[in-house]
Amino acid sequence: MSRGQTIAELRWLDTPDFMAVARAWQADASTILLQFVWRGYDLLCGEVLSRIEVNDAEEDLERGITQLLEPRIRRAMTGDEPFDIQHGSYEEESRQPPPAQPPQYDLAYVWNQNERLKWPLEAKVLLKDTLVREYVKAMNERFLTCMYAPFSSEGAMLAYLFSGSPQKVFSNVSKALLCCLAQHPGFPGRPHKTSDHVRTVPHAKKYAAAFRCHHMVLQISALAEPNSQLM
Amino acid sequence: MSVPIPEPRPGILDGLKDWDDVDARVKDAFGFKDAEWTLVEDLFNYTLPDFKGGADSPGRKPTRHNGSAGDDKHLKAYCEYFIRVLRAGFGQDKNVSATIFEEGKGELLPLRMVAVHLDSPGRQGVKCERMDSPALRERLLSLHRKFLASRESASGFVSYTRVARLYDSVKIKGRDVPTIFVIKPDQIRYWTRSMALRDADEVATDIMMWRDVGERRGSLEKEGLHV
Repeated sequence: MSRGQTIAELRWLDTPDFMAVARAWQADASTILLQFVWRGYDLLCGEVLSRIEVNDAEEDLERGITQLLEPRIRRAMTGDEPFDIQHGSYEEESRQPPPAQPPQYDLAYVWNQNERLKWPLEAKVLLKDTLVREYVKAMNERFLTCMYAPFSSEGAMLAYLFSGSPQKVFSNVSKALLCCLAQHPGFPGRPHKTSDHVRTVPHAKKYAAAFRCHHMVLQISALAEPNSQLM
Repeated sequence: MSVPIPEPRPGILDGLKDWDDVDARVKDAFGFKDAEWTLVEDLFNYTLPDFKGGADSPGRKPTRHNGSAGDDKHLKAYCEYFIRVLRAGFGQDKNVSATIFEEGKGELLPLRMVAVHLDSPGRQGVKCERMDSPALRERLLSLHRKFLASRESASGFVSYTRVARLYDSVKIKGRDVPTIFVIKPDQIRYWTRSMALRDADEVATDIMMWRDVGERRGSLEKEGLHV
């Protein structure tokens, strides 16, 4: 029996020319989103981190840094973008029955005309480059289960690194995740790598199984100087 | 209460000569970006006068001065802002261009049509093109009569007007170029820069949600949206 057309098929053509543009532009969009993160981080370094002794801060580090980063990412944007950045945005799609709270993103890009479409960024404090357990756990339990980013085939992990080297973080994450990390070609001078995964898609859901994770190491102390060689 | 009002600054009123100076100072004090300031300007130039005014309010006027073809500053600005959003979201290197269709001979149509071309080879910016085909003219009139013209609700107090957005490919330099056609009534309020920002936001979301056919079909059937 032949199948009729869905609303989506009627609205969005899937002729090769449309599909080619959509695929290429979706990939380019992620580079633009993450460019703003790096620019926001540069502002954070110049305006906050370089003016204090960061290692004296002990409490609420992850939320504190993320709250300072969010407005700086927004400032880096031109205002023309079809999306905005939000701190603490909820993922309604993967919520459990009440009284459970829906998953909450540290940061997420939210599309202006469809607020269900979110591109999440999960932040983790790494006091040392060897302490990646929580980072890897968040990856495995949130991104790779589709609890995070159900409608996006990409997302990012932000490592707020207090001590040690980004390369050691990447090496430890790679070992723990049993996957290879590749340098992002759009950010050659930044500690920014990507890994590709096949996610576990929940029963009866049709989310994209292929998932690309961006690993960005934001050095918070010692080396927290603006990196102006890019963009 | 914490409200996003700029802190008072010494000398903020120095050197003001006219209302434009006041606007410039306010824009600077709030740190508005151009897109945000566009929303403010359109609110004061069109939305509020339309709300308070009648059938001849600024936003209800036709897009062309004196109702004649060849003066398309509103549609040009609409297309430029539309393109800005797509480039901001997907990259400044993107070949996005737009075509404004103008009537050839005969009466002006009660609607306007623009085409936004994604990834068009060797084309940039906005250009105007005459549509001389009587068949196309008749199809647009028919579309207007059937779908776009204002209709009043049963109560008679609320009227609504549809707009159309169509996705199709056109041949440019021998290549099939994905194109979005936007068709709306010939009134300025439908073709403001604010409307361009919103329309382009919707198209950007569409592009991000494009998936191959199998993935989409399963997802939407699950939600009971099969038609």
